Amino acid sequence: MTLADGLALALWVVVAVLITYTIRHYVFTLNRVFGRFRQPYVDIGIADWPTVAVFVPAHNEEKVIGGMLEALLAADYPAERFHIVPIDDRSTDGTGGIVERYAREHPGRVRPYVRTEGKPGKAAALRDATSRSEAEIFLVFDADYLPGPNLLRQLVAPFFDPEVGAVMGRVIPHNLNRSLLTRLLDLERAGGYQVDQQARMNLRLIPQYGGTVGGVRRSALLDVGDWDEDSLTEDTDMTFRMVLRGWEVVYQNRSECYEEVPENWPTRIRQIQRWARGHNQCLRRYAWTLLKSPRHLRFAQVIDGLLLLGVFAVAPVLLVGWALATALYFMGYPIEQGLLILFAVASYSTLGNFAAFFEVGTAARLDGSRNRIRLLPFLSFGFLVNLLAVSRATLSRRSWRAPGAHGPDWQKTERYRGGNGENGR
Amino acid sequence: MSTLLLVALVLLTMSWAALPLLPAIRELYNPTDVEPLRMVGRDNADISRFARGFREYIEASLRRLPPGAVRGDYFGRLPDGTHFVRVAQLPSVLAKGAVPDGSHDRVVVLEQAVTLTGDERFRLEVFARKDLTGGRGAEYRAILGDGDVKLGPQSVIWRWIHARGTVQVGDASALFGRTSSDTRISLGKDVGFERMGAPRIVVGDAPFPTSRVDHQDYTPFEAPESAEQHGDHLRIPADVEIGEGVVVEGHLVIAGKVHLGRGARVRGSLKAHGDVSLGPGAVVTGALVSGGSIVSGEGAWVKGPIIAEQQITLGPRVGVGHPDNQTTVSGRSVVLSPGAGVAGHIITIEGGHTTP
Repeated sequence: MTLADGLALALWVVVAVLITYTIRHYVFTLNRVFGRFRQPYVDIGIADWPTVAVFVPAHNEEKVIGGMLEALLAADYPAERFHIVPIDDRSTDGTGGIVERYAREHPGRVRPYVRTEGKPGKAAALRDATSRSEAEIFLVFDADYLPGPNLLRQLVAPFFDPEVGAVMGRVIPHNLNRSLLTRLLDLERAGGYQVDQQARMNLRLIPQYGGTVGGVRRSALLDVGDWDEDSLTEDTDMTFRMVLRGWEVVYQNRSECYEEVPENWPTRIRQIQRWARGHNQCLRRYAWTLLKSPRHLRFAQVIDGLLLLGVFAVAPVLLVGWALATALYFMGYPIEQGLLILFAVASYSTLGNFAAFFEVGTAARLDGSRNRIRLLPFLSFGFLVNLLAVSRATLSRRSWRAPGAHGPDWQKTERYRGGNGENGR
Repeated sequence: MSTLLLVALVLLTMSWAALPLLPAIRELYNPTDVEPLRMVGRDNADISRFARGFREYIEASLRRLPPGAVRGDYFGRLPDGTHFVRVAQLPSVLAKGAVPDGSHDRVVVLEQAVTLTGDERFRLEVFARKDLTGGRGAEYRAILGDGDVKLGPQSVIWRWIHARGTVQVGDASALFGRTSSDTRISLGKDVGFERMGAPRIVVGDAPFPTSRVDHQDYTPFEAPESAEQHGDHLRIPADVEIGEGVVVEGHLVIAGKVHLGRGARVRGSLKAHGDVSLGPGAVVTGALVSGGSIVSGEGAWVKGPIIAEQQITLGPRVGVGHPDNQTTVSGRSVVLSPGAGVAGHIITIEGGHTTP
């Protein structure tokens, strides 16, 4: 076998990986267009509700935490059954003062937890807060979110199913008029939630708990060994530990919550690189266990789980494919036309975590929002940025180190509420 | 190929490739769809939302009417221009408001208790401040009642009905949309429905089925060897038959189908990935969840929510929840037998009906 033959073989492998993801995205999209919408719990509006603690991990969130607490206090969940726990983890801005004021004004309902020691970071903060709470259900919101009044009930409803360990709602950007980036992220989010997550729910695969606008059952959390404070993405980590232990993760498309998305590219790049590193960390930890197929998991769930774990690793694979194709062309190697066509289609259709174009289009249609789809061509540029950022993060050693090998810290996204935010255009 | 031709070809190709960017650039600089997506799921489980909205609208509208319009029977327009008729003295004035085909195209405000003759068609909402008794075959867009509302046989509600008092529905009626009451909904035979909510929803005139006394002298459930404990639930990877008088302590998850024998009890929640059948008098004190269908036998009782991805059939005198501790029955479709009662909400995707 010549060098060129070897490169061509490698290209075939790359194409095979990309085709697999392409098929996955097409299956999801077709399911959302033609399949049955599965959301069995969202209509539970009246019941004997369990006790709930709503955790709001916060590190220097003075711009947004007041709005978040106001929104939670307006929730229509039975007041005697829930309380809010703003977790102020070593904030150096005005977060602590704001939280204290709310605690004074709403005694018993707002119960702040101030962390001054222990490992910094969201997972560690959640772990400590969990150990101090007796609630049956823990809901988690990032400080920049704005939940509607019915959202708590909707997110708690699936926990009446004794097998449900975690629940995830839909995230909707509310600051999309700030820049081109926010509008592109709005499209990506729509594809990712409306099509990708909901299709996995419909097909009984593995919807992902996303770490915010969601929650976990106390007994499930303890069963899987609590939050992993060394994990870079405690949400993905929790998803797979739940699934591997036999708990279900539920996604509810109609449990919607507004969020603030990054308004400039550096923030976005940092965010997606953190996701990539954390996701790859989970790939390293759980892929083999998943491959051994625990008996409670169906084959389709195992495959979907593996593809979900590998979703950020696809970016460098795609780059390698482009490099291989270019190299083979200049080496004068006769690449089969069919292979090239497959590669082109797969490249177009496989965009890792960033939803495929046809998923975005389908989501826009399902959302009844037609004109924003005109921005779809710009998504190609966003995709290129993501591709490079994720590839860089994936190829970094930090992506593949054992959990705990990196220094724990707060990995958070810049907040904009109150700022001009016009820096992304 | 001449240089000019080459340049022209390149420019043409670039223009062709840039074509999709034109609407994109236009949308970027002249945004037409830049509002955050509307939250469509916010009011999902709110049964009486439309009724509340209409009450706010009609009461505000009536307050703004001129002084001459507040006494006696009155035909006029609400402040937003909607035609309405207020019936304060003679129900017969309703006939004046009817269009040639016999239907009413006005909002109707009934100030006194009214008994209709039947076969009316109300194209806009009816607001009954006192009791309303409908006749056979009447069609209503929506009814808001401050007292009791009694619908005659073969009535149709197209959008919603809400009453502070009892909603009594005649045989063979169809309730599209949302049906709610602050006290009780009584359904006749062969009544179709979509979403209902009340402290007591019963089929027929029987009292609400009471919860069964939970005795201590049952046979404890013996889990098969394949069962695994996951957190606070026991998971069994097979079909399960829970025998007569057997009691299960704690939550149970069954990977296949499950049948509870006569008088069996689950003191916790029960979930099956397959179908669930409850024998006569079986009791589940938590939630009952099925990935398939649920059929409950006569006199069974479930305290918590019932959730099924297919059909839910509640047999005679089956009780769900308690008026002081209401809950939800949610399934693709729901069938209610005579004497069955639900305290709380019944939500269907494809509709439900009472047995003929």
